[in-house]
Amino acid sequence: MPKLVRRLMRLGLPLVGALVVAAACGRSGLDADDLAWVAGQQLPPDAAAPGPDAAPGVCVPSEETCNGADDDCDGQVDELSPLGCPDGGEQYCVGGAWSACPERCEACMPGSERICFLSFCKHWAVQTCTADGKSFGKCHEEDPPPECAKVAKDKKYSKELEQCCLDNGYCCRDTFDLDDDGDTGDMIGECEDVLCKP
Amino acid sequence: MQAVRRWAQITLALSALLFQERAEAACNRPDIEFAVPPDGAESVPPNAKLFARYRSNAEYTGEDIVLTEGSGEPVVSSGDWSSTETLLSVAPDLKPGASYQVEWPRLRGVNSASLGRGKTVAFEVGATPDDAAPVFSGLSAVDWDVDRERDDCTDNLEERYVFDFELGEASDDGGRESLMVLLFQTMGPRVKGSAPEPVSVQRMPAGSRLRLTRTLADGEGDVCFAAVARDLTGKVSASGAEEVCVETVAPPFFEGCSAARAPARGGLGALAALVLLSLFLRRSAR
Repeated sequence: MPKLVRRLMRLGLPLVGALVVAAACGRSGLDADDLAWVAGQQLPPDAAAPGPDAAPGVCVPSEETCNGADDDCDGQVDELSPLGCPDGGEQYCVGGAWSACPERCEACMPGSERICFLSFCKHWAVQTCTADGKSFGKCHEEDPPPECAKVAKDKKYSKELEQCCLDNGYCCRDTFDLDDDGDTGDMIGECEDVLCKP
Repeated sequence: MQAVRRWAQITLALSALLFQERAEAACNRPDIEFAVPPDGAESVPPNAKLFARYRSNAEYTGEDIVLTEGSGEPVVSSGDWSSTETLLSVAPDLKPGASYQVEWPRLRGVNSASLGRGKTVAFEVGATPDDAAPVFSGLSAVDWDVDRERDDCTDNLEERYVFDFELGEASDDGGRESLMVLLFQTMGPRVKGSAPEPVSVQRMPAGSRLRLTRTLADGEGDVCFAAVARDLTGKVSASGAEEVCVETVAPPFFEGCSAARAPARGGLGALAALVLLSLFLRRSAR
């Protein structure tokens, strides 16, 4: 066989083989999990798991629990009645876990306001909750109220200003973490009409 | 001349009042969002409860719910209020085959000076009670985008992820149109622990599409959702196990390279390069 043909075969055959394998995997969407399943090591990744005590191919009925599996072998996964929540509403079995209890809104009551603080100018500002209750808008600078005007002037953007906000009955963004919970995005003070809790 | 000026002042004042009213309405007027059974529903099961969902700042303080059978006398009752779901419900004794009209009350709201909107709904009761749970195959696909709309409360542009879901088949012996869809976020940057977060309660749409908005902080990255259907007797579908997932990116988007060809799947190019490199090294070693 001519030397050129031998060289081409030596170079080309492994390359063609590798390309064919790679293309087949890419087209079928197979990944490492799927190959492991083909080798009999585990369940197919997208399949609902059978009951916990199931032998391969056999479903052994047990009490249905919220786990993403068809425990009672009726062909349905997690068909469970909702559980009542202490403050009203219900928890549902979703995606193999019990959901959180519902809250009245996601971040704040639509149209409600809280005080926030700026590092410039008047240092006192107001933030309004959006119409869908999912977030607050931007901080809009305002004149501080008379009881906090001196603190804003002397102490500026400071813990003292947030404390003044708190002491005078406002709902205040906890920028300086006065409640020491590590969260500077929450709010403290008179926030009953702002918070989502019932 | 004075008369013209006075008319102009009155017109301006009325316009300002109307504008203020409209702005407040869109911002936080505690309106009713939907009622089930909906207006015109037929074959409502006799054992059904009636539900009305209000905006999240609505407050129920015992306002009357007026139920009228056919041309009979109105019956006034108060309802059960779930403040966490802002859901008002009443469980009347419905007569099979009868027609009813229910007047959902106008409610007051937190941070709102005006009464919200109520609703009057007419429906007909069927002959058979609702015994079975709804059959709903859950969410089957999801698409997403980012929306920037002027918010009526903040008067600023607020960015939101908009998720459009494709719904699977849904049916119930109490009627598909009276189902509620409860949406949950099962994965996301702010989903706490393993507990899916309830994110929306809506009426089952007539079509197969359902829309949900999330903040950028809630919807960025790998997010998954699931849904269950709830009927008028409180029974729920077993569709919560069906999740749909999508990966979102935060704006601003750079789409300047979108005309370029997408790279081949499976790392085909990288594999070919590796094979060529190994052959080259083998040859050089000789």
